Amino acid sequence: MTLLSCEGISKSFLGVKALVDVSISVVEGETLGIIGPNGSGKTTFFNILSGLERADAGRILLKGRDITRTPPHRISAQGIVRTFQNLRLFGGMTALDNVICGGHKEAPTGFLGQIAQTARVRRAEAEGREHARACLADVGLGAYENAFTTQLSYGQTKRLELARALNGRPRILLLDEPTAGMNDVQAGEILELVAAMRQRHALTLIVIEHNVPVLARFADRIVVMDAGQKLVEGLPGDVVRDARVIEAYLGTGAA
Amino acid sequence: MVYYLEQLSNGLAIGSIYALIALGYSLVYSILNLINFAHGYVIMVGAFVALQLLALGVHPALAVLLACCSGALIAMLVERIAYRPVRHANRVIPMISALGAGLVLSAAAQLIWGPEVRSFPQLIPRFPVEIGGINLSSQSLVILAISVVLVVASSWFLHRTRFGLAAQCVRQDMVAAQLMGIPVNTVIVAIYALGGFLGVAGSILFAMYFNAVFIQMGLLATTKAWAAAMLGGIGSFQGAFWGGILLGLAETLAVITVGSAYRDGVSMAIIVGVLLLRPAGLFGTTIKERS
Repeated sequence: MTLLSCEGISKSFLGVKALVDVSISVVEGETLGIIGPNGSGKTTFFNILSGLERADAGRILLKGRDITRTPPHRISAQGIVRTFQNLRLFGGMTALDNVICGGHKEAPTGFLGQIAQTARVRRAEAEGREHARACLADVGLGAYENAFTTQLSYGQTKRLELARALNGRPRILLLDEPTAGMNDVQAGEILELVAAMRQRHALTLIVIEHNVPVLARFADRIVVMDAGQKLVEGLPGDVVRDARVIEAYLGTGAA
Repeated sequence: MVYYLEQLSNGLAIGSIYALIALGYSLVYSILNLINFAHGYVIMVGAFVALQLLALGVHPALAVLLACCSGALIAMLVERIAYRPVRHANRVIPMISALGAGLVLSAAAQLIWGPEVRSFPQLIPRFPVEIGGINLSSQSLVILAISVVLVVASSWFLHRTRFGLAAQCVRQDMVAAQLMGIPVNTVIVAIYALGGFLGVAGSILFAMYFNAVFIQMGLLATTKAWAAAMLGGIGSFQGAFWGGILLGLAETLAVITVGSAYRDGVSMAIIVGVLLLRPAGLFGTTIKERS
């Protein structure tokens, strides 16, 4: 059943058309890969999905409910959680605190409740902390909960961002280039981890990726974007052999 | 020597008042990088509200609490009307809008309460307390105690609760914070409210200490608290506290050595000196206090 559908999304920035009438939908449990050259509108699409940018036209339905104009913190609370291409972890905090922040919306505590520190608030915060610890352990960073993000390696920060997103208890996880800056071995590891998480948390995934061979093994379906438009959509095996895709990526004549 | 020690408690009392007011600046600055020029006027209005409530015969404790809440409320309104619409504009613009909000508040206060200096009821009795042969003022000691309790409580709130963690996320990366499900606007409003609440507590103590409430208190408080916040390192919670205490001590020292006419000059001299010698303030630019 369709979990998320985007219909006719368009967005332009000062006349530059970043997205033109793009329709993409995902069904529950599916992994959708999005590939496309730089500037083809992939990240803009994520920004619109997560509410950071507002589409000029089109609408987004999450389980049939219109979320086109919902503010980002509510979208996140409804289960669409994302990671960033250039990691946006909170620098001055420990790994665990970063992950705890990811679960902010789960905290059922009002302003006054926190001042009063009622038993309910304390219990909720303790549970939130445990859940965050579990997420850290899930990505293999259990031993680093007190490390500051600056003390972690690049690969570890990628994992940390994943843990932070997982602690938001996503239904749909948007991953923006999870393997950026990694060699094929590391990329394979991180996608293996994502696949394990997909299994365990019953996630629906939308993944932006440049590493096409890696993505082809991982995704159920691939959408190719070019110049703000959806160029091709199909099964990974078909997409990587499509002449238009090869042209968009490698230029005319490469095929 | 005894005289100096006696004066020390006055310096600490006035310093802790400055600290309470300075926190309002530092909290807002730490999150929005905005100098909240309206803060002084917000808390001046709060002091008048306290005076008005007392004149109406409200119980002093309740009057003070309500006045502090009114400060929180006005600060929230200022945020909504004067800051939020220009939050992402060039940083000069929110500064001008802040000054404008301050002028509106001071003109409104003048319309309602008039331009005269009013005396403020001494809610905390003033009598000498002898400790180890030194006579200290009971009022100074109580002021110091109240301020320290408020500062410790807000420090705990900002550093040890879920809200505090959310506020730190907002301070570091507003966009990422939103995507964590943190309601950024709510956090910012709450920070303003907290600053307004603490600031009015400070301005009421200020009014009591100097036995005066007046419109220009807004500007005076702005200058003093800004000097304190800068001295400690603007944006830093601890910095605002220690900056306030040091400013209070420095002023008191100036008063007893060269005369009370120099009291207000000290804060100006500190602003100039800090900007020249150590622009980041004593506590540096570090905004990470939680370990």
